[in-house]
Amino acid sequence: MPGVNRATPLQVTTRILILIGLIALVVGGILYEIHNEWNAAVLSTLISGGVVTLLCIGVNGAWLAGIIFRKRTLLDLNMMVMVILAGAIVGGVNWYAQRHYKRFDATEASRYSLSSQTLNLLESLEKEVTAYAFFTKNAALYQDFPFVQLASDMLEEYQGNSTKLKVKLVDHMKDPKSTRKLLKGLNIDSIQLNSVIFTSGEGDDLKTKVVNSYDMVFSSYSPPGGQGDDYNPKKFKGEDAFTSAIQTILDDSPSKVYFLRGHGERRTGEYRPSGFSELQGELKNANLETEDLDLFDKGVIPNDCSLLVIAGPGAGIPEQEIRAIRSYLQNKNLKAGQPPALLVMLEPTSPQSRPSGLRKLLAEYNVDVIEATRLIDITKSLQLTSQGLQVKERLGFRVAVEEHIKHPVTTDLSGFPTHFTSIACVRPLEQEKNPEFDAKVFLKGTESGWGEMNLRSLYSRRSTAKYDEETDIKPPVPFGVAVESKNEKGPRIVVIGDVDFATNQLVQERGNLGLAINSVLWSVRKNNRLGLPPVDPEKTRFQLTRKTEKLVEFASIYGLPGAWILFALGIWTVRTITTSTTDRFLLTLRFGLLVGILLLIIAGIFYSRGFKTSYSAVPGVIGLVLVVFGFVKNLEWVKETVKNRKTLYGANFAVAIALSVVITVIVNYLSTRHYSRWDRTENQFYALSETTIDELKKIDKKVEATLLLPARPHPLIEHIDAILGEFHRYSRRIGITRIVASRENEEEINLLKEQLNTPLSIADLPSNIFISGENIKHVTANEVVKIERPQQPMFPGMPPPRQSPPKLLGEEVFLNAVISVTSDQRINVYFARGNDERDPDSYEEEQFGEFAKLIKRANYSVKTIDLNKKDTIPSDCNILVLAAPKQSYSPQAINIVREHLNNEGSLLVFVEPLAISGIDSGLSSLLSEYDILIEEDTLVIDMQPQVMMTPQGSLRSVKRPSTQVKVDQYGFHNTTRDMEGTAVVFSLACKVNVKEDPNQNQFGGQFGGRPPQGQQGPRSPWTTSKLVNSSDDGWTDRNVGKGDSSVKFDDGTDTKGSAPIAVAVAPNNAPPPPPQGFGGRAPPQPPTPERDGPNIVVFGDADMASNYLVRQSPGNEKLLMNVVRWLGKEKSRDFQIEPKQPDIRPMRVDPESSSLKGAYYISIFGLPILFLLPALLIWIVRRR
Amino acid sequence: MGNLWALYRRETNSVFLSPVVYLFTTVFLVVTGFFFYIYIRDAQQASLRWVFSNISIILLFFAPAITMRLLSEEAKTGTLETLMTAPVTDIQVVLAKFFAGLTFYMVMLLPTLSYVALLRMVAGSGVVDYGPVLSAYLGFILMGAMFVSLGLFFSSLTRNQIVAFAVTLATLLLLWVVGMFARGKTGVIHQIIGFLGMFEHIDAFVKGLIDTRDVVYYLSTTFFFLFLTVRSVESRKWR
Repeated sequence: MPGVNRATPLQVTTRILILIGLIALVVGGILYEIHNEWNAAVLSTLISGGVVTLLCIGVNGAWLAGIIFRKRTLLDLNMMVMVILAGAIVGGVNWYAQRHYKRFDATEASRYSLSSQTLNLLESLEKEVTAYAFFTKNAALYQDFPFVQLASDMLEEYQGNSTKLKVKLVDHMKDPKSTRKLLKGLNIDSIQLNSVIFTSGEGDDLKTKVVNSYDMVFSSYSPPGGQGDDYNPKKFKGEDAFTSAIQTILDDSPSKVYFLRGHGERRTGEYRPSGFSELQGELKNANLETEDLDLFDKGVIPNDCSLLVIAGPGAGIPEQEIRAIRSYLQNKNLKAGQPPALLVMLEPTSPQSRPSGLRKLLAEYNVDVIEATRLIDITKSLQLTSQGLQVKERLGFRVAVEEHIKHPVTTDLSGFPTHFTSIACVRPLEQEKNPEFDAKVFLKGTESGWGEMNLRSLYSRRSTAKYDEETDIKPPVPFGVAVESKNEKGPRIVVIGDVDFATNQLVQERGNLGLAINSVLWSVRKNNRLGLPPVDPEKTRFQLTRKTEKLVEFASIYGLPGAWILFALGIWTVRTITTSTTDRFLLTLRFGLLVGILLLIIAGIFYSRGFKTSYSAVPGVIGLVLVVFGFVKNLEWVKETVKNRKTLYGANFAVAIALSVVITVIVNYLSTRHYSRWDRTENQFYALSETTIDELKKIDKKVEATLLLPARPHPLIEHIDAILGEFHRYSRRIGITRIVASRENEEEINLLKEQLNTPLSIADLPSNIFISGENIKHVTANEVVKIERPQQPMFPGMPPPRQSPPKLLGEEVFLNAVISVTSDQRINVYFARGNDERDPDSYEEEQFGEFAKLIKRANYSVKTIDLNKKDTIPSDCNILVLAAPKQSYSPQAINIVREHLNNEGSLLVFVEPLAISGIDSGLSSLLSEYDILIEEDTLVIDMQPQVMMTPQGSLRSVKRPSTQVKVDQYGFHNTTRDMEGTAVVFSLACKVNVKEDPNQNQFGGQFGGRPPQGQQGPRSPWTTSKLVNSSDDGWTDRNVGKGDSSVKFDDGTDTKGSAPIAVAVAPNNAPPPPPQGFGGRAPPQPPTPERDGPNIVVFGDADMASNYLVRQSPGNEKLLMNVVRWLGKEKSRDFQIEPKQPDIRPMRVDPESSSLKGAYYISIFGLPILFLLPALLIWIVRRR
Repeated sequence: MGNLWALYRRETNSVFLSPVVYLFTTVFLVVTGFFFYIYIRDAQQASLRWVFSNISIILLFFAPAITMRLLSEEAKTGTLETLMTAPVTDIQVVLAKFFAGLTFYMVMLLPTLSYVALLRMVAGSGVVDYGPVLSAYLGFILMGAMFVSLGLFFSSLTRNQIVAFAVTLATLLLLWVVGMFARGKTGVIHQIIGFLGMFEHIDAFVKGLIDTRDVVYYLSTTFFFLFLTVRSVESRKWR
């Protein structure tokens, strides 16, 4: 264009370079932010960017000035300034609003409003207080503390009402490093999730108070006869906890608590279970200083003593020290202005301890202490005996106080039982000695516990404690007394007849800590507990009936939008009527016609959603009338409309759309029927193995797989969906139905339950139910996942290896289930009857009803047979169960069993020790033919850890002989292959062994193994396996039931070491060992024909399969089912498919790392700028 | 004032006599109704907090559609120039458009009040807390004012309604995610970014708290975008 100066190529280039220079400056800044140092890369980028920009600006000075100083730019600039000013005003207003704000609580319960006590405290704050809130909203952890949001809101309210209080949120899950640093700075070792730390001051003046999540929760229990279990159990009492915490850290005169020492008292710095270190830490949290005091050295109690604690003196306190304590209590050395206080925790006298010597002193304050007594109470426990489970009553020294007497010391303990052990009696004197003092009981034992006065008998070897009305202290025995003076400056005394409750071992048990802290706080007159009322959680549950649910569905999804459309149609009609020249009546009818169509649609929806017939009939009929009437009266209009070109075009368009929809649906339908998938994941997560594909192709029966899904997302669904999808792909006979476990599908779920004949638990979801014909198989979520426990470190001191991620077994278990339901093989399990065996139809504790139920759940039939009345066992019997007969089997019955075994039937035997059953089962000779040796005259004794109470009252874990055998290590066998990490419990078992095979069992430790090459002996026809052994430190007792009732190792008769208590035998199908030559290779062996024969399993205990233990111990259930499957020779168990490894790739990135910062800048700024660049380039070139 | 009222009536008439607004509201009601039903069915809690939180997000997607045509359509058809020559000020034009958009927004929201009645009917009397309901609707109106003013501003910048819709939606989405981005982080920059997050401010209303900070935030940002819109409309005269 003439007269216009076009930029030269140099100018264009330098203008682009200005842009590049500016970008380099920005990149330099980002690099500095990432590396956090002025390194070569940062400096070179910044300098080169700066130099290039400046130079190029110099070259294009005139051009830039032209742009800047032209009128439009100035106007733009003017506008920009105004915008910036407006922005600044808005920012300023918001800044001011942030600093001075009011909140109005619109909730009915004033959930977010603070009490006047709190507001006064916040108003009077002079020191800076910081609250560090360690809240997490992680779904799994959130469940433990449902008040995170409420607590956050409340803290914000605190902050809003005081300029001195700051709240800082710390996300310790996201940034553990900073959290650790913060805690170190606050001198706090560890913190629980969802806690708040209040701090004030710095350095030596730093004061902290931790409010744990449980401090913010108020648990109320359903009153007897009240609203039952559904009674709302939890409320939020954060305000009480927060305000108390602020009061505590602002307290300038921390109380000093002295712990008397020198007489065997519990030590504050002691970290052992009997020590007081935990309590000391909690007292520190409550802003109370602690120090030990040796009165023998000091002679007097220091002036700054706010409370003297005497914690379980094991020896008598000398009279001289008693005098010092008396003097302290009488205010004689009171200078600091603090009233005296005493907390005494006593122990009953025992052979190891003497009376404290405080009796006389405490009597002066109307307290009667009886240390030469011991509270004995009855505790009930369930024990398994040969007669099954029985409730045993035992006398013990432990007492749990559920209901506390109302007193300031027991404040907030409602619903939190306190636990005590080894208790002496403490009660008010029957006749007051000193009317100035008021002694009140706040702790007492139960109605069944008495104070045993005959301690000599109690501590003797043949202790026979019994309540004696004349000599013993009658129940309930008081053991906690609080003394208050009527004079304000007088002492406060708390005496508790137990010291163990406050030790490290017991202090964290439910209410114990509360009691200990309350005792101290009340004594020192620091009642930091405000008693502010707890707040109800916001949500209120209601029960939605099927009817109301439908109503909500209709009203919200169809009703409201439908009404809105009607409203729109009404407006349209009114508008048309008012503006049109057509007859108004006809126009109204046209509106009616449209309304009628709408009503017909609604009627259709109602009908399809299963509403009552009348619900769909009413709108249907009205709609039909309106449509017909409107249609007839507006026939001409309808005809005209139909003939109208626009209508024809519209219809044409509608047909085209309908056709497109139909074609799209057909294409998609076909693609779901015939499709291919390519699994590109590294671990082939979504692909099936060749074995599975081959087996699926062989399936010739229809299988309906129902996937019952939980209402919420579940991590297993992806795996299950993928596997089942592939199953369907390779076998069209497998149909898949997905049902979400919600109210909507209640009917279908109930139907499934009926078919399964078993309750469906939420924990089992996602469940898979495979049905083929009459066969049904249920695979629960637990069966699909295998979690492997981390292995133990190889050497002591080595860190244990990481826990491996769970493995997903969906492919294997689903294939087995499909094979199982499509198989014609029907497995029948016969339980022998007639010799008083355990009953498979009974659900009493010692019977086998649960075991039979398990068998049925595995799709097997359970039948019974009386061996005394039959000549032979039915040929359809796959497994015969002989379950601990109480009468010996006759030779005839034994012959029937032998015949069954000869017919290759399987046998499952449970025997009981002779000492328990009292009879010999008569099976030993038969079983010995199969290399099984049952030793019914033995009892296997195991050493099991037990928590014992020492005479001093402390608890200790010791190993004691037990008739209960708990095992979690197994011999190598098909039945135990997935038992690792699962414990099986046996009770009163006898030894069951196998004949030593020269080729087995002598080289490989306790569970057997193969001998070295060249040392094999003659082959046995049976392969024997020891499934379960007792531990090495137990023994096999051979004296029980032979006049010696004690469980004691006898060198002469008993055998030390582990003993097998379950064995399995199967035909030996292993090939014979190849002949050993010298040099050269062994000649190839012909394949050994697979020999079928009986599989036998013998357990030396029947209780392990009893209803009680099957219900209690999942390991028992698992082992029994493995055994049954193995005995049944179930075809499906032959498949062992490599489990899938979930694609978990944890990444640990330091939040401060430069790589994370780089990713942050590149993703948020880098990529957008990259796309802005071409736009700027185009702009520069076009402006040329 | 008379001019403003006349302009407002003209604007609302054009909005409410068009079938689009009703179809639009119907879709909105179907979506919110679905959320309401799901919550009532699964949670069975007599609280609308979760439903309101979802409605605030749904509104984010609907608001740009309300505002996209307000000024851009007039600019495209050329009626804006005519309007500018009429004896009305730029502020009156912008405010009339703003109030018309806000009215549409409120009318769209109005039927959702029936959820409260429905909940009361299902849960029984004395169970529903009406305080948070009222505060939530107050919050929705304030938030809506901000949405409409923001959308109006972007509508004033372009003649293309789609562009106005996309840019408004993108900006609202950005204001949504910045709040999440800054959550749990410390530092002044993050505090400012977190403050800009609009859903951080509606939270308090939804749970039953009326906080002056949130009120000021919505009102001031509304004012700010209205100011920008006025400047933008004004700039047409000299551009």
